Amino acid sequence: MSQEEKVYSLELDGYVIHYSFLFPGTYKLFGKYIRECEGPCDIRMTHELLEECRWIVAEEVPDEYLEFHALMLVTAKYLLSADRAIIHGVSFIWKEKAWIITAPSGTGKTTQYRNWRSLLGKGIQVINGDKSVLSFSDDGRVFVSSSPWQGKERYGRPGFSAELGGIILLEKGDHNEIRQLTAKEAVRSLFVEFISIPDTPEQIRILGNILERILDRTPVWKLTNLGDLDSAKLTKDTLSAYLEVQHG
Amino acid sequence: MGKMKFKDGIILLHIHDAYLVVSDKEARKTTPYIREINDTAAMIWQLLEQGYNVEEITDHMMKEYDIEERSRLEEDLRIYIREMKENGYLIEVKNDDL
Repeated sequence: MSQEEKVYSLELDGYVIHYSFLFPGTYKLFGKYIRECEGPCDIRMTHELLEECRWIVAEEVPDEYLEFHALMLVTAKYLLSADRAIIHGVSFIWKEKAWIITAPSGTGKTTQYRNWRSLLGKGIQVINGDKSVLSFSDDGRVFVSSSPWQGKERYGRPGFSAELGGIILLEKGDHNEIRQLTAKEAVRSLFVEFISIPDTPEQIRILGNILERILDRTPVWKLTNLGDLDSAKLTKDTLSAYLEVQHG
Repeated sequence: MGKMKFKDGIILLHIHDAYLVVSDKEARKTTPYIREINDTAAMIWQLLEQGYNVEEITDHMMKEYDIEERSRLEEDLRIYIREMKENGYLIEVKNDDL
């Protein structure tokens, strides 16, 4: 470690990772999620790693911004060894459970979340607007918590977490329709939404195992939608009916 | 067509009755990250992994699916395996590797 190297600590769902950045201003993008600390670092950004991750940003961006997003990819991979994964999607708490709306970029996740806000106001609280951390309790329950990678709108707050209630896979359509998928139907669509893109056969197997355990106990719905308020109402009513059946 | 094997870094996952073929970092240079395959294709992959050749896979599938017409099945298998080979998933095993 060089004399000048600063080490920063990021806590994700109780799991602490120490970073060393290439650019002095990168830490600012982590906001309240990060603090300066001492000790050896777990992830040291390099120019080589930075170039490998350049595809994650669509255009020329400041170095700090590129490093911030490159660290998202590196961290997501790193977390696999801690039995955690990062998924692309908006997560929020409703009826004491966490719900994730996931889909490829540009499909309308944030619009859907805003529709839920319009319907329920303070009845929902956002966990994270773009990238959520998934982890497991000792008894196998799945938990969703926030990460510094909150998306353009910067929805999210550190330390916010809840047990996962369900996942909504979003797709654009010319009408609104929702149906619960079988676990088998959900596998591929969910696998590609993990930011934890595995580098090695071992990481592939870990991610497969994480997804299997999530689907063991998590319902998944596919929402074909127009992005309007009615689509959010349809989803809310469907999930409410599901919860009523679950709770007898 | 001799014995085939998967290129290093290609992993077949079985998750909740779905089968995904996933490529690791090195394999992604020539093959897609993920490909979902059906149960029959998964059986072929698993038999290839166990070192079966086309004739042996044909024998196995004729029994498994109670198929009587061998030539059509064997031809379909050859086409499927050729496609997998062209897409970079499979490589022919040289005699030295056996």
